Amino acid sequence: MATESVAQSRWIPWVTAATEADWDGLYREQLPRVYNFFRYRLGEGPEAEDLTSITFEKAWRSRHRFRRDLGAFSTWLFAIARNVAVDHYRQVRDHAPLEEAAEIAGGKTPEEVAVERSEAERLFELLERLPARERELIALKYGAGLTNRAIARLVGLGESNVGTILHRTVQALRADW
Amino acid sequence: MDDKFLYDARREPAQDFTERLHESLRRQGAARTVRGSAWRGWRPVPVAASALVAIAAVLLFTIPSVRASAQAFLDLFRVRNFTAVTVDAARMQQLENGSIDLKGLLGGDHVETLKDPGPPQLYPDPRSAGSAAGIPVRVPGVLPRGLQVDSVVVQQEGLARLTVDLAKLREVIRSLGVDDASVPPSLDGARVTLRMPPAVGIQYRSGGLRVRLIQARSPEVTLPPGTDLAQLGELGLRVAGMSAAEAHRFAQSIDWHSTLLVPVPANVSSFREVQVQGNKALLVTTTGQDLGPHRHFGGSGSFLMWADGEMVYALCGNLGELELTEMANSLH
Repeated sequence: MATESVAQSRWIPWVTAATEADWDGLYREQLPRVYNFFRYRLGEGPEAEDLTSITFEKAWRSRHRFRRDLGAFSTWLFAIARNVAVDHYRQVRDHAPLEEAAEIAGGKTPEEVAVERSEAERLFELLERLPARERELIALKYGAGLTNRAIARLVGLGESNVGTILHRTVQALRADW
Repeated sequence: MDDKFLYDARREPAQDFTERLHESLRRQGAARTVRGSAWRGWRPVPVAASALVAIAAVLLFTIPSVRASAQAFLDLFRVRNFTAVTVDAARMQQLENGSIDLKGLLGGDHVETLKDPGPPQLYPDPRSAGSAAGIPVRVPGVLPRGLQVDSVVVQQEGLARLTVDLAKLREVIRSLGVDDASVPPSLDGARVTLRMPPAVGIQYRSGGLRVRLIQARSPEVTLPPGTDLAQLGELGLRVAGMSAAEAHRFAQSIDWHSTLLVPVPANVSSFREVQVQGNKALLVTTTGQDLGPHRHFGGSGSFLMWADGEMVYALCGNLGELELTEMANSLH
């Protein structure tokens, strides 16, 4: 919650005034959240970077449309991200499986990478089996780090409903782990 | 598994990606222009995928006539050469965006998966991947700009069989607006088998730079004997959007038993022949322009394909063509 409030307080001036000074901090704060939303939503692969980029470009282009009285900036940003994800699913037809599997984190020792790969792979395999709604909620909660309240606003469900679905989904993931 | 585990699976975006996007947005803001997505890293995957879609279209239409000859040997297609063919960008778009449902039209009961390759498997190094794939894996001796091995995967063998349904084939051709091409009735019921041998993929990475090397024995297409491959290849070229005259001329000029066509949209890429270790190679280079519907070709990068003996290689990434060619020539 605190993180979200800070994010909003820093984003809104950027959106409304588009000052360079605000931009750097806001960008670095929100980028990992959007990026991880797409990772959890789509799995490992270059798509996460691509769709993150598209999301920020769209947000930047339409920043004048954001009205702070209509909701939190993160809600607005992730609404864009959700639409980008929907467009992506609509457009994507064939993927080269070799390429999909070849996208792995860098900067770690081979042993660390191997362990992380196996765990992350397993997690993303489980996520892939989830129904679209459940996977999206997981991506918003754990990838983007949004609160249940923010998620509820975003997806049009009640906050308690979001909590219940997430609880059940995590239980299901745990059972399959 | 708990909340902490689920949160811990998050990862920081690559530094290079973060910087490039930041800079790109800054520039866009300063210039008050919208320039699409050209700043994004080049994506060789869609290039390969789109090429494969069109190649599949060509291959699927390169279907032999069936002649009653019980003792005849089957014709065999193996890749020895790669040849680029410029095709209509609009047609490529049609094939890619699904407005023509090739899978639906050609799929269903007519395509059987005889051997499912399964998901690609990660291996710790190229040598073990080569052992798993049963091929002598080669690696580049030259790795420009600090590239390092990021991951190694093996895609196991796949085998599929297509049985031609003449009515559906004609439907595909009609749906693409090709009205003046004839499909020989003898094609009906013909069986074509496609074998994709095990392949090793090595990804190299350095910041935002990505290069992928894929190597495998040549894919094989087994065809019933007595096929007029040039005629059927010509049909495939029409499907890919080539005019009747061009398709005819082109179809007569190549060896259909050993040449894999790589369709390249005319308005987005350039291509030329280069030498890789004494073999002819096809180098496709993207321009990095704002390409409208072909934006997945956006950014700059190169795609290099060649055959060496029984093996075929593809090297692609967001390096310049000289660096990519240098890498290819350093394979050992």
